[in-house]
Amino acid sequence: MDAIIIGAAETDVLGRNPGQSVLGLNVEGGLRALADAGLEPGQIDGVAGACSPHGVAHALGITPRWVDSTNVGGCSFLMHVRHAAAAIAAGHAARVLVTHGESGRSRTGTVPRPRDPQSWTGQFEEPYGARAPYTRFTLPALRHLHGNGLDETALAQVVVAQRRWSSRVPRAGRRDLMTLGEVLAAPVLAWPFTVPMICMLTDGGGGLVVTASGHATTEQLRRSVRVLGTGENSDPLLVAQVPDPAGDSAARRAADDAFAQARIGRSEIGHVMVYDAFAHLPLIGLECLGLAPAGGAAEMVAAGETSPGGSLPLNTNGGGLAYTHTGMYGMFAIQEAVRQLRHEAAAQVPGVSTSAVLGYGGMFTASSVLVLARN
Amino acid sequence: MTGELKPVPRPTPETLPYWEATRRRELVHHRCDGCGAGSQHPRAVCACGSTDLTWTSCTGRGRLYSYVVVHRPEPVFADEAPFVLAIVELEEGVRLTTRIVDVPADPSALPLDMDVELRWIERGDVNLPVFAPAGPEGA
Ligand SMILES: [Zn+2]
Repeated sequence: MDAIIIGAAETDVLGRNPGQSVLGLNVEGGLRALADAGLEPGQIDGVAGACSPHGVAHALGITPRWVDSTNVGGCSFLMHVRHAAAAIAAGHAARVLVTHGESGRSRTGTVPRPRDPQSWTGQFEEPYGARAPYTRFTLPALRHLHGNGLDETALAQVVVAQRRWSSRVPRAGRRDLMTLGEVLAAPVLAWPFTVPMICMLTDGGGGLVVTASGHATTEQLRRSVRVLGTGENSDPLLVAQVPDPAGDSAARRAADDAFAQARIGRSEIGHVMVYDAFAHLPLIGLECLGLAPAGGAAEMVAAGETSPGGSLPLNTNGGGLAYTHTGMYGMFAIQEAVRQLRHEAAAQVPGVSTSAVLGYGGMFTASSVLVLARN
Repeated sequence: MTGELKPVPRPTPETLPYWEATRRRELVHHRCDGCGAGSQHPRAVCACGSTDLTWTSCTGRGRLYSYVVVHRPEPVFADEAPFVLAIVELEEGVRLTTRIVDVPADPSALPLDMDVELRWIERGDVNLPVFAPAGPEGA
């Protein structure tokens, strides 16, 4: 695969920004990614995004030959990178702009999502009070903990480890170090999940420019990140019916495809981003990626292996739990992987050259994986 | 009562047999006549390739597969908090999102794999299948 990322940037503000609409956040994310790549909008011929890429293209003055509006939830942006790589290989586009913007906190310019009592979730989940993500995405967590002889302390360890990263990241929304006891004693939203085990709710966005090396300048190649392998997969649309979130699941199948294409072994991965809307996801995700043995992720986290100085740095921006979470976090997981591979991250892992990024979407119902490398 | 009402499932042609059965307080699942696999919601084709799927009664017995205790629900459910939102695995091998009722919303009363049995709560023109800890065998 000859796809590379030559532009990557986030919006100036992450957090509370009621003065910017969803469209405005997408446009800013796109413009900053273009500036990072040293490109003008007219040089872009493909656009992708989960929120009206046609509208974003029009606002930026781009006339796209290729459009991808895949929206399967928070991992959509990993799929956009995968689809862009395929489109570029097929000659459908030369340079693709992927944008994200969401007013998750302020709800400015957000298209309302009406309840649909005829949908699967409207019929089989919402009548029970399973509505907010922290009452749905979290449902299988106890089964995973119980099956591996663990309790809620394993969730708290994830928070402790990720705060060690976010405390070093000035742009992170939650930067205070926390002890296990403090995490466990925090207010409970949905037991066993306390507030710090649940992602932030923010406004923000970002953009990526994907191309092939043949379309890139020497200067663009210098800071580029190579897309070695990609995967995507889906599961049943109701979380209760996912066969096993940590076993045979969309994430594991996507990871297997991505590593098969990347032609590198798991042991060669030096940095990991796992979509962490909730504290059980890094544990399940590490196991689905094949970077931790089944049931062994919690022990790795507790031993400090995923913390600064550990053997497998994980969620080095602090993750959705502590950096930012607009509602669809996947864009920010990719951004941090790119920063790490460019050696430009706030909490830089020394000498890192490979990264695996795992995204989840729609309460475990979709997943995508990117294997990236320093070019 | 003012404000938003609790959500009532609205059947589609595919799900109508399921919700009509709940009106009779009968829990059904969509079972493949070929391989025996079942699901709560209707499927067009089973993973085995068979299109012979039949709505079949459940015994109403199962086990507690996983759960969360919701302390801060959306406002329309605030009067019920804390409540136990669960995944139950039925004897028939089918999993569904449901509630555990008739038990304190306290983890010490809710061991995983606990035997549960069917109860009903009324909601609009259908009934919702929920579960309670199972009584002693034969009781
Ligand atoms: Zn079958």
